[in-house]
Amino acid sequence: MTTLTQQEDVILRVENIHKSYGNVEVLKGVSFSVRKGETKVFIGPSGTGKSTLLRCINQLTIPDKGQIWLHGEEVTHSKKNINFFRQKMGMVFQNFYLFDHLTALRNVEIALIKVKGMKKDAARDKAMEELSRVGMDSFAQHYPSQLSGGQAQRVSIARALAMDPDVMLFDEPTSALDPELIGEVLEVMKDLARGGMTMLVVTHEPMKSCLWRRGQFWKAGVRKNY
Amino acid sequence: MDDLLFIQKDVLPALLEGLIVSIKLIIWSIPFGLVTGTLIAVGRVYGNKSISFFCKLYVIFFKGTPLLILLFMLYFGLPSMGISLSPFAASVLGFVLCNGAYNSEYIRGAIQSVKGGQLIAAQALGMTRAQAVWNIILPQALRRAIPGCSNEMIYLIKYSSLAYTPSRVVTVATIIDIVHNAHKNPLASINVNR
Repeated sequence: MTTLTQQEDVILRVENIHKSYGNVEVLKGVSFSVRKGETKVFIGPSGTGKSTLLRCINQLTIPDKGQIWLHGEEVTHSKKNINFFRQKMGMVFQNFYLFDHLTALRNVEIALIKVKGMKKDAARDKAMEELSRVGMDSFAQHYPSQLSGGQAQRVSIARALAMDPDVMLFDEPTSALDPELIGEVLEVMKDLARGGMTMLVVTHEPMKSCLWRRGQFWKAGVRKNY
Repeated sequence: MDDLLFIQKDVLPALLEGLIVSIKLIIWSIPFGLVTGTLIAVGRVYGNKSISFFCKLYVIFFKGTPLLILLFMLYFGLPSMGISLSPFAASVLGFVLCNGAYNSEYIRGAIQSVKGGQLIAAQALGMTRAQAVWNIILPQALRRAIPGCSNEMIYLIKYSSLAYTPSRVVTVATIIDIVHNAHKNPLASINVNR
């Protein structure tokens, strides 16, 4: 009975993911699952396949082998549905990748309008709501070039949150930031974790261990419980 | 006095007439040239191997063909393949093909200068590749291509002199007359500048 409830709790299941670039096998059969409200952190030096793993999860990189399941539905080989799954998996990048020609507000809003088909007014309200959640509402009319790294990263978190994702994927969210700006981003992430968001975080900075619930040790593509 | 009269009675009306033809030509050529350039550039950067190769061939061919020769091919050459174009249509088509090839190079450069990762970020939000290119990449790229493309527009306006003569007929055919008669009628040579 307990195992059954545990299984129902599982939001994301990754099974035996393989990925090679040329002769280099980056991921050698990675499997794990993430339960609702859980935060998993992957730590390891550069080049060990942490980012590749995240990109495989939302199929920005297509894995050679293996399956990904979200809420019991297969993400791998989902072809056209992949855009639906990607909405459900918010991704935050190391270099923010904000849309340079749009204000912070429009950055958050655009996918709501173009992907979710929301009305402009509703999308604007939703976008403002998400911006205030990360403390960026007073910067709504700023362009990315006018924001500091920490502010830009908070906007990019808001952008991902606006799609109401079931799980958030953080790809080295603080690696490109000045040390004094890391705090504000970590604060937002901690808030999310406390609010029950399911999160996968990839980093090479052990200082983020404040987010750990159950750490995963990563080396040369082989995962061990640590 | 004679010179002034000549300018007033012959040169100015001829130039004015040419101007009107130029405007008619570029009104059609500029928008379609921009659209062609954008499509070719997008095809070259984001298309699969064969589309990208086709777009590259297109650019090499139309950039490498002198516009006058291109107009001759369209107007004189196509009828032998069963396609007859009016002089105006042949001119517009020639301008669009040529302008599109040049524009595509500016736009391609601009696309590649858009900070990487934004396409991926847009896809990660659930946009299709086409949506991401249309909503995120092109608005930025086209803005950056404005200086280059407006240069091309100026060229186009000047190139339009290749397609008209003072004789009311908008036709590349008469260019041959001009070339033949250049020594008899010095005025005609005004119109083949550039």
